[in-house]
Amino acid sequence: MHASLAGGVLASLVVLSVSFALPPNIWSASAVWFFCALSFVGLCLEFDRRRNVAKGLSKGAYQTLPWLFSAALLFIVGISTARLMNGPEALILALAAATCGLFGLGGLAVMAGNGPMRHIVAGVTNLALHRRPERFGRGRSTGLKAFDLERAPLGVAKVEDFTIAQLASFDACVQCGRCEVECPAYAAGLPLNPKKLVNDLAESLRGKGAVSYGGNGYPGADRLPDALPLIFADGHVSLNPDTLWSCTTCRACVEACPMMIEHVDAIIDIRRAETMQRGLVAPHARKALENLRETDTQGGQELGARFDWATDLNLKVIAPDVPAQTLLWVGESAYERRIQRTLRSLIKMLRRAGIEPVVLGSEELDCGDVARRLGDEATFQRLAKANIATLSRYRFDYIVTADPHALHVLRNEYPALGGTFTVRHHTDVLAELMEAGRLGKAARIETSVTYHDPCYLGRYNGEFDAPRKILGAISQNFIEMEKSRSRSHCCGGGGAAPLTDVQGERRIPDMRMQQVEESGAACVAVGCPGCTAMLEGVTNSNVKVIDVAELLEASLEAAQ
Amino acid sequence: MSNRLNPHKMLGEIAPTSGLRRLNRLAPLKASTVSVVARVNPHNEYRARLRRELRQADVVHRQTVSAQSRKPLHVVADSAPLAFVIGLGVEAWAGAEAELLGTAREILPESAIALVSLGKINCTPSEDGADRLIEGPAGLEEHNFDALLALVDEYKPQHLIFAEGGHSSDLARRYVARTKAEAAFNVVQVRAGQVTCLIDGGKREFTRKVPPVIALSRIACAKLDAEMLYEARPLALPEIAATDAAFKDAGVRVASARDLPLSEAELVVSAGAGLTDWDSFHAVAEGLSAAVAGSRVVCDAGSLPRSRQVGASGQIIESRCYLAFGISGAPQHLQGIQACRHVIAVNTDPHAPMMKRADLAIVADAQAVLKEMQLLLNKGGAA
Amino acid sequence: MKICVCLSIGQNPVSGRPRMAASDRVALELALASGADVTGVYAGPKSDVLTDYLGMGLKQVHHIDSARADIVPLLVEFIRSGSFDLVLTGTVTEAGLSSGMVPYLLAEELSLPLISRVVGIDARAGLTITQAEAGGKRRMRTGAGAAILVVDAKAVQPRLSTVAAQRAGEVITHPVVSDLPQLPELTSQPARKRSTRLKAGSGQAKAAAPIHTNLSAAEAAQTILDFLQAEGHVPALQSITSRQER
Repeated sequence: MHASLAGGVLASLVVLSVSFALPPNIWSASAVWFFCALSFVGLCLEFDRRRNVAKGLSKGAYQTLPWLFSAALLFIVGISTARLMNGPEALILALAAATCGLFGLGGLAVMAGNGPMRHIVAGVTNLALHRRPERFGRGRSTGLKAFDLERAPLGVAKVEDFTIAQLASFDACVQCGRCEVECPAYAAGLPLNPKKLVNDLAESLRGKGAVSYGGNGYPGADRLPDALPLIFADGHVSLNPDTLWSCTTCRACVEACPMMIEHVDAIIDIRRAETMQRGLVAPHARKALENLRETDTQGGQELGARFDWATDLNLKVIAPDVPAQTLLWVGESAYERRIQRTLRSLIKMLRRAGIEPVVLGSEELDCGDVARRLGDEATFQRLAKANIATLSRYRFDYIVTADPHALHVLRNEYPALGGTFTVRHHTDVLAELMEAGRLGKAARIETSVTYHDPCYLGRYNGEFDAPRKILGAISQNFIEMEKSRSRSHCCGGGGAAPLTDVQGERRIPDMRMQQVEESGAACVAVGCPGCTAMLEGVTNSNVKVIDVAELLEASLEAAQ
Repeated sequence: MSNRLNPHKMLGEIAPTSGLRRLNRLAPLKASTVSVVARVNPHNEYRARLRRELRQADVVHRQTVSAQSRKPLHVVADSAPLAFVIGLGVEAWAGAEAELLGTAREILPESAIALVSLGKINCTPSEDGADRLIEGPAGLEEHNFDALLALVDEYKPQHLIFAEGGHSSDLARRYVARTKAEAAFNVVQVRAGQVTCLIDGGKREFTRKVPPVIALSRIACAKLDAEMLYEARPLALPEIAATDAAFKDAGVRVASARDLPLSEAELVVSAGAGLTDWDSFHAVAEGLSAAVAGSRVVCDAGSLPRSRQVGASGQIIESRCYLAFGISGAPQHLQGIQACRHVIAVNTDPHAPMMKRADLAIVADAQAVLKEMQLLLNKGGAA
Repeated sequence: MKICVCLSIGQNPVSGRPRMAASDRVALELALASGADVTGVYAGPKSDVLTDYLGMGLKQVHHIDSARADIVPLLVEFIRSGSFDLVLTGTVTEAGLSSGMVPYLLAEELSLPLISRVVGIDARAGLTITQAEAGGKRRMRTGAGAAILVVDAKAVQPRLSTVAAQRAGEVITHPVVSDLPQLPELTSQPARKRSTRLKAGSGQAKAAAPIHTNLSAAEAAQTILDFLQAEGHVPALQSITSRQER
């Protein structure tokens, strides 16, 4: 529709302009009329679209667009026809057409300044300067870009601190609303609306009222607490910090955006200023950051106690001169009883397949994901550099982890700081072992089971199939949820959201559990300790939450 | 000295652990049947003592009741060295005054222990171990300091014993700063003539001879068992050269149950999901002068602000008593109340984890119990 | 108003890593939140932690490079030389003697009044200091003139130390020239874990923790109130019958 309408109008305008250089003739007129006919098709579709406005689609100034385009089309048709005519009728027609043209093309031109049409130039600029060109060819680029701590400013404290590419991207927004529809925070009634945020940022640059926004606002905007001072308070548009802290960084908005806007990058940039310049974060988040600074763990734990739960497993600590195959990275969740069960299952199965995993022991520091998502780039880089230095002293084939957040950071964000390692998710390794027959026979479990794609494994790293291979082999009754794979609904545990703890009407994990229950599954398989914790924390649910590794272990034991 | 005064001497000159002497005092008639062990591992000894005391509980109870009228009086000469135990109107912790007296007697068995009470007396001096008693007026820290200086000047005690906590810690340090007396702070263990102090932020300890000024932590203290009476002879209060406090007292503000910070509340009343009668809940909290709290579900629903949430993702509290109404006790919630001394739970489910944790567990409808408590509190306490 | 905050180097109890002392941070937070002109002073060996203090918003931290000498005379000299309205300290240091005596010795040497358990400073109209009292109560003190304030460790949540502020502030080092009296080393051992001593008669209370069923709501309410009174949790509700002495 966009192509036929916009393309048609553009093409007919071009042909019309060219035809002025030639004497009036039916051929050039026909060419113009052809493209106008094409535009007409698009125009009808646009009218229809504006009659029953889909969820998330903006109204306001956008509703006038079909009329402006109609006027523009009438102008083009009128002028091209008038050129073929003679006499006073031609003049009258030309004048009538010119009036339409003034209204139509003039209106569209005005809209290109501050209104919905500015996305034409901005969209092109955004694509030209895009920081993630890998995404154009169906590739993936999800790691946050390298950040130089030495250069000011530290994050975005006023809207001018964004890069030109980012500012262009905000103008490129066509207010289609797909990001809003996909956003789990918005759906739960948290005060975040990715579409409004992008347009607020555009308005913040252009001036109050300069951007015609016809969409929905932030949920619960009237009852936002004043816990923290407003962001960009001296500028044209101020934001309540809870809008920023509601984001779980799930990237559903980015995936859905047709204009390639990077909402998550923008939010993290603003968070960086909040944390590194103003030092304003929620109390639990502040405690976690202080713990990371003082103990290199989120929970203020002893580094040497990270593997206390595994004393009976006699895990080997990697040695400098002894090359190893599989390095197990356990993460912060090794301090939690629930996740220790997942890790035990994983280790047992690796050993069953003849793989002896090694660990870093007390040298393993937090990967830094939580620090980075909260905007504390300094703490993240300190941890990252220390981890990279540690890992570089050893030789191993690959790192395996059950934590997609660690996976993402180690694989996609450490390279910018000098550490490139092969990192694999435990479901990937287990699927490979299973298919090679190294795990033995698996029984088929009768319980109906569905799979919840973790954001940081699925959308961030494109790994959807390995867990499904495993579940397909061990389950008699595997159910696929409607919102699965790259449309998976976040559990609410990413982006340090559990620490910033912003109130909404509902809780994001409650919504996801409801979807699980609606699918009819009695059990939901997960592949992330964050998802396990968030989904298990849902009260009033009888659905069992279990890691893929634990399910596989149960199935293998049942077969014996 | 007769054996009654120093029963441990009956067993020969063995340096006793404090617990062993307690045992003797509980059952002096049975002292001879107790086997003598020197330098017992205190943890084993604790458990063994607990078992013995539980067995002898009946005996003790019967004995105490009948022995009340026959208790001997501990008399100490005026020439004995004097020790002040400083008691302030508001105790550093519940029962601190009595415990300070008992512990003072342990550290200084030869001294005359004088209770200096600046403000309300919080113990029973004659039963808790005061040979002498000096009562002074309550006041701000600066006034207490003036009073103490005058008292020390008048009676010249050899030792001063304070509690670590609240006003008492402050008074002890003011005194030491002024007089440059040798002092032991943060004392965690005592014996006759010796104290063990914590230093280095609580990570290290050292043991030393008893100095003139001692500030005792709660952990070091235990009160006497009332097996004898003490004179508690009043001593006169000298003239106090009162100086005006540089910063005047502009009054005390009491926080309401909704505003009282959870970290400071000694009593907390907590609501679980399913509570709907918030009026009686808040009324009971006000009536008990307790702070209000709630489980995560209650705070998620907005019935209480997030700052009132107790648990791993809320606040970890250390109140003395926690009343849980209709709370089942998820692991994260129990984590939040780990340090609470007493837990009272009212729940319709007898198998809820909170009921196991509770020191007083009642199977009943929390709503109805709250209503009844509100009525009782309105009537002004138990009948 | 000019405030001087005395700072020390603390230790994380789990990792042992040097860090800003928790109660000093609270004192610094109160000072910064009052809107006054705040200066930090620290006496001791060089430490990177001083930059962290700058990160809380301090423009300057004065570092008196004194190795292991007694810090009280050095602090006294520094405070005398600046014309401060208030001197704030935390309750106790996380390393060293941890006696909590420093503010009291400062008050004595400088002949300044001292107020402890401070949770609030209000300098908008005269000077009002809020003290914490037991049971969550608050006492206000009004006055004028300089004073030493010992801040309660739970007064406020201190702000995060930020990179931006760390870079904006500066540490000014004052080398100490003369030979200073060093504090004597104490022979000490790692602290043992201790629990509260067994109180008389508490063996009985611990023995029974039954679950009460078949109580009416009124009986349950009475049982709860009796328990609260017996354990001394509600002194305001002392019943007419005196407590049984066990």
